[in-house]
Formats: sequence, C-alpha cells, structure tokens
Amino acid sequence: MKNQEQPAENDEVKNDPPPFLKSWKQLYAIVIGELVILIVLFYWITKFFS
Amino acid sequence: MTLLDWFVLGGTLLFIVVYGTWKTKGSKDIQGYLLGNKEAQWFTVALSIMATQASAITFLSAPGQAFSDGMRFIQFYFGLPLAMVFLSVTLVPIYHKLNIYTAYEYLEKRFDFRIRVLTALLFLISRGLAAGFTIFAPSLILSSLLGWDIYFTNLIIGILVIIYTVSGGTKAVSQTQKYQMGVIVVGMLIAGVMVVSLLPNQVTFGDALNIAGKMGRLNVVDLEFDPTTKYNIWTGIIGGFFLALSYFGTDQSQVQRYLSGSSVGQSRLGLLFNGMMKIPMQFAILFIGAMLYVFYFFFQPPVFFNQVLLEDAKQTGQVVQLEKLDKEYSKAFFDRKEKAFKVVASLHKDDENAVDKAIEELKTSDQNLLEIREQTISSIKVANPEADTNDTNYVFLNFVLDYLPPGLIGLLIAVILSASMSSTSSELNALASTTLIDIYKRYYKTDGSDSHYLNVSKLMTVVWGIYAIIFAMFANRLGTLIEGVNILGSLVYGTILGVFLVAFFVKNVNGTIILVTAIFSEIIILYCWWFTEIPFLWFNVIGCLFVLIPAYIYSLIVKEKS
Repeated sequence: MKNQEQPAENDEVKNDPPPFLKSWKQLYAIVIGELVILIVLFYWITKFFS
Repeated sequence: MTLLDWFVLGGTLLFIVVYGTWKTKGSKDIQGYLLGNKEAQWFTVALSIMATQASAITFLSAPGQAFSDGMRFIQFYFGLPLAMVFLSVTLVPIYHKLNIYTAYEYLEKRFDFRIRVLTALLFLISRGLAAGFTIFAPSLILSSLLGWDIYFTNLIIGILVIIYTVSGGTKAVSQTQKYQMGVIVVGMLIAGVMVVSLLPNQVTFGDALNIAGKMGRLNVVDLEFDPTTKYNIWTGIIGGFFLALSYFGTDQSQVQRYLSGSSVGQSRLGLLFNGMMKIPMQFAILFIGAMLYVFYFFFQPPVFFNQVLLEDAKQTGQVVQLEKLDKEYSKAFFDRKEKAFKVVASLHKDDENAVDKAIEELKTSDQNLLEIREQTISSIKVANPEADTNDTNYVFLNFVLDYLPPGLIGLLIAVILSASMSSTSSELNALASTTLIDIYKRYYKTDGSDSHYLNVSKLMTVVWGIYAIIFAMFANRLGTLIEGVNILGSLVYGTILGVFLVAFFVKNVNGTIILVTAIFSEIIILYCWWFTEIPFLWFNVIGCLFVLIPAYIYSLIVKEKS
C-alpha cells in the first residue's frame, strides 16, 4: 500500500464572529429557540384546527 | 403545454446553465475546481446546501403526501436544526483546520487508511445509486403526465448537468444552485397562492384551514411516543437528528458545499441558515398539499392521479368496471361537494354544533369517495398486476397542468427540473471528488501534477454523469430495487456517523477496533431491515450507537488497563 501524505493543517483558520451578535453561542441559541417556537406553533395549529 | 410554457421552461433552464457555465469557466487548479478556491460567502453556501438536499421528488412528493396523509411528515425535519448547531460546533472548524477536500480524508488522519477507504466506498455505493434515481424519478413523472419520452428526458437533464458541472466544478454547482433555488422559491410561492385563490368565492382562507384541520390534514405535530410510527415528534427529533448529522456531516455531496465557504464563520452561517429555513420551507410545500386537499372538495379530482395507468387499464377487460366506477365517482363527488359547502355555511354561522354535524357528514361522504377510489385501484391492479398504484407523486403536477394558466405551467416544470439538476450536480461533483481524492490520488497516482488531477477530476465527473444517465435509463426495469435505493442511505449513514463520532469524541480507539465495530453495526442494521418492522429512520440511531458504544467500552477498558 502506498503511503499517503496527510493533508497539511491550516494554522490560520479564519474564525470570524457572527454578524450582529457577540458570540456563536447566541446564534446557536437563536436557531434552537426558533425550533422550539415552530414546534409550539405547529402544535397550536394541530390542536386549534382539529 | 403551450408555446409560452415551452419558452418559459427552455429560457429558464438555458439561462441557468449558460450563465452558470460562463461565469465559472476555467478553474486552473484542483482546489479551485473541487472547493471553488474556498471563496464562497455564507448565502451561497446556504442556498447550495438547501438546493442539494431538495431534489425534484421533494417538490413532487411532499404536496401529495400532505394531500393523502396530512402534514405530519414535517416532523421528519425537527432534528435538522439541532444537527446544524452540532456540526457548526464540532466538524466545521476541524474540516477547515485540516484543509481537506473530502470528509473521509479526516478518518485516515484519525485512524488509518482502511477506515477512510471503507467510508469512501460506502459513500460511493449509496450516492452512486442515488444519483441515477435523482434523474429518473422526475423523468418518470414528467414523461407520464406530459407524454415526453423518458429516455430523452433523462438524457437532457443528465447532459445539461454534466456540461456545467464539468466546466466549472464546485463553483458552477454553487452558482447555478443560487438561481435554481430562486426559480424553486418563486414557483412554489406562486403555486401556493394560486391554489388558495382558485377556491370558490364563498370559501375563505380561514374556511380552508378549518376544513383541512378537521379532516386531519393539519396534523403537524404528534406528541405520542410510538417507535413503530414513522412520523411523530420523537422519531423526528431523535431519528431526524441522527439522519441530518450523518447526511450533512459525512456525506461528501453536502460536506463539499460548506467546505467551499471562505472561512469557518461563512460555513457555519450557511449551515445555520439552512437550520433556520428548512422547516418553514418544508412546511410551506406541505401546506400546498393540505390546501390542494381542500381545493379538490370543490373541483372534481381524477379518481386516480396517474391517469396514464388508468387509461392503460381501460384498454383491458376492466373497461366496463372502470367506467361504472367513474360514473359512481362523479356522483359521489357532487354529494361530497354539497357537504363541503354545508361545512362552510355552518362555519360562517359560527355554530359549533352545526359545524361538528356537517363535518361528520362530510367524513361519511368522503369515505364513500375513497371506497370508489379503492375499487378503481383494485381494477387497475387486476388489469396490470405489476402497476405501481401509489399516485401520491402525481397529485401536485395534475393540479399544475389542469388549473394553472399558460406560462406558470412552464415555470413549475422548470422548478421540478431545476431541483433535479441541482441535486444531481452536487452528487456528480462529490462522487468525482471522492473517487479522485480518496481512491485515485491516494492509491493510484500519488505524485501527479495539479493539472493532471484537474483533468482526471473532470473526466471522473463525466464518467459518473454517464453512469447516472445509464442507471436512470434502466431504472424503469429495476422495479422494487428503486425502493432499496431509497432506503440504502439509512442502511449506511448510521455506521458512517458512528465512525465519525468515535473519531471526535472517543480516545484510545484504533483502526482495527473501529473496523470491527463498523462491520458489526452494518450486520445489525441489515438484520433490522430484513427481519424487523423498525421504521428506517431508526436505522441511523441504531447504526451509530452500535459503533459508538462498543468503541467507548473498549476505550474504558484500555484506560483501566493503562
């Protein structure tokens, strides 16, 4: 089996902050918060119109 | 289709292909070709991710599914936003740091070459089969409804995709997907507005919601925990999370999309935008199906939506029975229409008791109609025992062809073809990358020049494209194998995900152990598939846990000993 040269690591990975927010944690919380809101809204739709 | 429809359809597709090819032509090196020089901004990454996942079948099948079974399919996507967050925290920074082309390169670095080859081959097998099916599925439906030649349709879709994918690589795929997503969003929005606006004048949007809800089509969330039910909130969150994690984290057709992001942040934003938009988008597509269900209370639907199959059955000895059923169906429809108007009238009076009574009458009348439909399907089966009598995928296009004005029909067919092309291009791009990086460059020619790899990569794209077209041509004759192709992803995704999770989170585990647990996990999944009734979404969880748990126990033993 031939030896494979491993991919070179990129030491200068750009890791910019998210736009309009201070940290990525805040953005993650928004994504999860939206999911919770959508599930509550969908549950309400299911109950209200049935 | 009118001349205007052909003009809209041809113009839309040609513009996307020609503009995409022209704007991205001439990648000079392999990084430019496979990763678009890592220049993509988050919006491009996000649209590319969404366009890759949304195949033509999404737009053909989802409205039909809501029409016949309600909107509960949406729960399938509940785990997706959680997976997007998980991937943004874990995989994205590592992939960027390692400067890799494919997800499987990482596994060699963490374990050894065997694990890399195993996962790359599992990807090539499952995605390779799926690529042909992505072309074939919409071709089958379009050829059936519009009378197009299926081989010609396969060929046109395949060749157009090959042209721009070979010419511009990843950048062309992402660029064209932006416009394809634009066409898809505009087309589906117009279809949604049309189905509601075509309702009779006395039926308001609120009435339509009430009828859909009371007839069980707005059954969006089911809280009951039942592992045998395909779609409930628990299957959606747990099974959907594992499926999305495997698909977006380890399937090269998706990994390649966000590897093209210009930074960790841009890739993350692309994934998170997908996490925020996917459920509302899918809700909108399913909602069109729920509104179509109400629409067909007031306008007579075909007794069976795949009308070519129905007409074929009428050419046999079943003709007398089918024509008798046709007459009974029309009579039953007018009875149901009357009952539906009665529900509307009682809704307007705001009399709850009257509404409940009218709904009960409507359900009885609807049941009568369904029984006639069942008898029709039985007759079709007698006429042709091989016939696929599931007509869910034909519901939406039937509405488009029967009720939308000229021009919009062309636009909606462009939506279907754009969706097919956007998924296929990502698949070809990823299949070529994995074949080149994980097989050819790893084992066959390790010291080639950049231009050599660029040419081989283009050649691989052509080869996979031709393979996909040939598979699509023969797919018609594969019968039940097509179902197998659909399920194949879930048979391998769990194991691949387990391998990746061990790579990230479990120390002291070597390549041999992971190889044994991966093979063991595949045997367990195949057993579940053949011998149990477990819904396929759970295969992702089972496959992952059967790699993760033994590997974790092994790492604890090693730690204890040392």
